[in-house]
Amino acid sequence: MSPIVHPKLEVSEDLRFQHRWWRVERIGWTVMALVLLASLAGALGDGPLSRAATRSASGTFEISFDRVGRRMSPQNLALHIQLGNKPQTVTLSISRSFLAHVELREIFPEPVTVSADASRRLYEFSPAPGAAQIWITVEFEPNEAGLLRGTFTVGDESVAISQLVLP
Amino acid sequence: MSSVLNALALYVFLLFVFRIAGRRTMSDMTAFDFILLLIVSEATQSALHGRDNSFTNSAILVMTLVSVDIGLSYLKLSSKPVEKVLDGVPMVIVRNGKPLHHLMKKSRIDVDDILASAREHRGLANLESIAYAILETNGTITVIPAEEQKVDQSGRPT
Repeated sequence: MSPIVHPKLEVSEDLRFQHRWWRVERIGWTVMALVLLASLAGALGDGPLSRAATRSASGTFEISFDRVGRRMSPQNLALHIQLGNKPQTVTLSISRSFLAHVELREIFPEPVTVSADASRRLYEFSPAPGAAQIWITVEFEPNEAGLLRGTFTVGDESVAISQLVLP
Repeated sequence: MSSVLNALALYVFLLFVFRIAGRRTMSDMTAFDFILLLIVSEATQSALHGRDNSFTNSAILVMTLVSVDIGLSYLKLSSKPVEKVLDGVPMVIVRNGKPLHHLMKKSRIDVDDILASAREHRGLANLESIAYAILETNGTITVIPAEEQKVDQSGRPT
């Protein structure tokens, strides 16, 4: 039987680097796992951790919204307004600071009239006859990453919201 | 401009994720090939989720990414540490016929993977016929048979 010969091997191995790289890999996997867990919980938008609600000073006007949103990703605000003396119309004003940075998709129910001035848009709704409360949904997509702020006003009641929009 | 920044950010992010995923995930394709394939096809299709679907935007995106790819390849040539971080290093997993089990385990390889490569590329039947097996930077396993008198090609050129 002829002897087995092992040739001389030339290869640019670097085991020290390799061991250090494996540590980096493990750290990277941990970071990825944490990000995924945070995302499942809604910390990155779209989940239980991210939904919040804010009330006006008297408590008659409440907005439910996401604390964390994502750029160009659809989401909605749910506005709940108590109507004191059963008015014929309800006017909601939305600040330009909000509208200028989002793409408004739809507002439910459909407003009867829409008007605007330099700093806000006014949406007039007609509640159902005898209704003590009205529930309005605003569907939108943020246009840019960053802090999105907006002020929503019905009569004397005002609610300000702010959302962190992720890229 | 934000779509260019998006493209760059996505490139760096994908590079990070696929390097962290390790070599066996990237077997038979380098991370760079894979990324370029993914991103270039995205860029030409939906301009990376921007609302700008113009040809101009796509062209700028493609050129940005190709330029980054070219730039990085020059950077790799000029700096060995950068090359090691971006590409990784080859590693001997069978030396003088003996498998190095602790290194294999960390690389998520077992003896069957080595034998499969030996059969596929060299037609070798067993471990005794193998002098060296090297895990290359792209995740493939190259096998140097025993009894070869001349030194074969090995790994990436230094």
